[in-house]
Amino acid sequence: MEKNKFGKILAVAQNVLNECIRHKVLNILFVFALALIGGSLLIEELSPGAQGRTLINVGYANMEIFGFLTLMLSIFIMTFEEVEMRNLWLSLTKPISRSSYLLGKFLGITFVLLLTIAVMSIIIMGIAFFGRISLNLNYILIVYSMTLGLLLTIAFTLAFISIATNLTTGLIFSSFVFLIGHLTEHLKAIIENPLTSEAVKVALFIVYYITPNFSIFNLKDKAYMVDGRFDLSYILLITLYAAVYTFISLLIGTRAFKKKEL
Amino acid sequence: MNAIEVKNLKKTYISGHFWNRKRAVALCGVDLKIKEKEVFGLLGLNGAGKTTLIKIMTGLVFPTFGSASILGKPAGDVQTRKEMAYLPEMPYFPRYLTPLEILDFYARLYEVPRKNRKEIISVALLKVGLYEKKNIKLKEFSKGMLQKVGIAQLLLNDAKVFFLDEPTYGLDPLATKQMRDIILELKKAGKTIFLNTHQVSEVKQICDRIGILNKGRLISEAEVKNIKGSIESYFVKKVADDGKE
Repeated sequence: MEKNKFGKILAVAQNVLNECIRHKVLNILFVFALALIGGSLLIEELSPGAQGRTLINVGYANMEIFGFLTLMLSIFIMTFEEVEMRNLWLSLTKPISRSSYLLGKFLGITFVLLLTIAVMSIIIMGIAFFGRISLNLNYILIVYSMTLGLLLTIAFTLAFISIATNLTTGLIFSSFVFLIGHLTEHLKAIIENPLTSEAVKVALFIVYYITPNFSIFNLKDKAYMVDGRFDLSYILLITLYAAVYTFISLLIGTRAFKKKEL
Repeated sequence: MNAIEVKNLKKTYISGHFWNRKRAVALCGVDLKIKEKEVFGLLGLNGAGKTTLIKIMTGLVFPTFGSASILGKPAGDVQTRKEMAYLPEMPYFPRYLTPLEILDFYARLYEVPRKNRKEIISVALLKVGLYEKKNIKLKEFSKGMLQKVGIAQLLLNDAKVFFLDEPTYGLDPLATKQMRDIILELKKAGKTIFLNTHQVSEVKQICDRIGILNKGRLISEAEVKNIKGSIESYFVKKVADDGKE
């Protein structure tokens, strides 16, 4: 039985956060701010009437992309130093189980992601404030659901990296899953199309059910449609969905990591 | 009780895809017993399997066959690792952290209580002569200085068994002497030390007993005091004799 398990997980998480900050991963936020401010000026020129909604949509879409970039960059930096530079040898010969180490890494990258999202939300609120665009509380739910999707992405990326023989393969594969996960509705349409061959249908059917459906986390397109009100049972459902997928991904990741030779 | 016990240990690395599997035998049936408080030096040419043996004992890779135990517990076990310390050949550290931060991280993994942590880290840094540089980022450190940080992390948990893989690699003569003094100090304190090296000169001054690993097999074991002539000639003879067989 591993003693002080949570303390060790927290130590790894703090170390990950510390390293990511030192590696200037959060500089990505400056790019986000510049992109958003530039975008808001352009939108003001192009469509003065629809400025508010367009700006918010652009802001939240950018937030997801930059959140994804942040977590991929964090995972890349951490894993590159650990595996390619062999930092991991020293950490894993200390009395910490591999599952605790992986959970610590997940928690650490989650900290980085939450920090990034918090700063990006403040930037969006700042732009909305100065542009006199009203934001209601439902935007918290938009950010919340987006964060769920990104947390799930951290978990399956760590799982892929633990399974893959090299870092690049793991990152490419998880980026591919992230992309496919955003297109699951289109996959469904292709499966239901009578012109699709049976073999393709079976292959897509498997992909459809294995790949997490990221479109369910996309609430930003619905913010205006439902008059600023979301069904709380839907929020609970997507929370459960993300929790189950994250749990399964971490379980697969820890199993693979335990068997990995360094 | 033996501090380290290795029984019929075999390791084969498998690489490539299933249609093009490649096998490389690193260890083929190693048996070894190291007593408590003993300093054991493992000698071998490059690629003899020395690092693989140390990696199995520290839990970084897993044996294909056989077993290894440390202080009676399975090698690689979390509880076993609490009582051992390991210095890899050419240790690497996160480049943007400082010695103080990385040692604090390792101390936390060793469950060193918060109230003692600062003092233990300071003592370790003083011992390796890096106390003044404790707040400088590791990316600014030379190879030798990084090796010293590696040595400092050995001293955090009052380990009973030490695994040192080429501990003087990259060190200048002064730092090599410092390293040797630290090992001798550990020996004096009754620690068990497993030393991997191909620096034969080191062995005579530090080790009680040596083993020679060649092509994954332990071809010889001997007490240092019983070796007639230089260890270097003993080593060369044993490896050459093994090549003839």
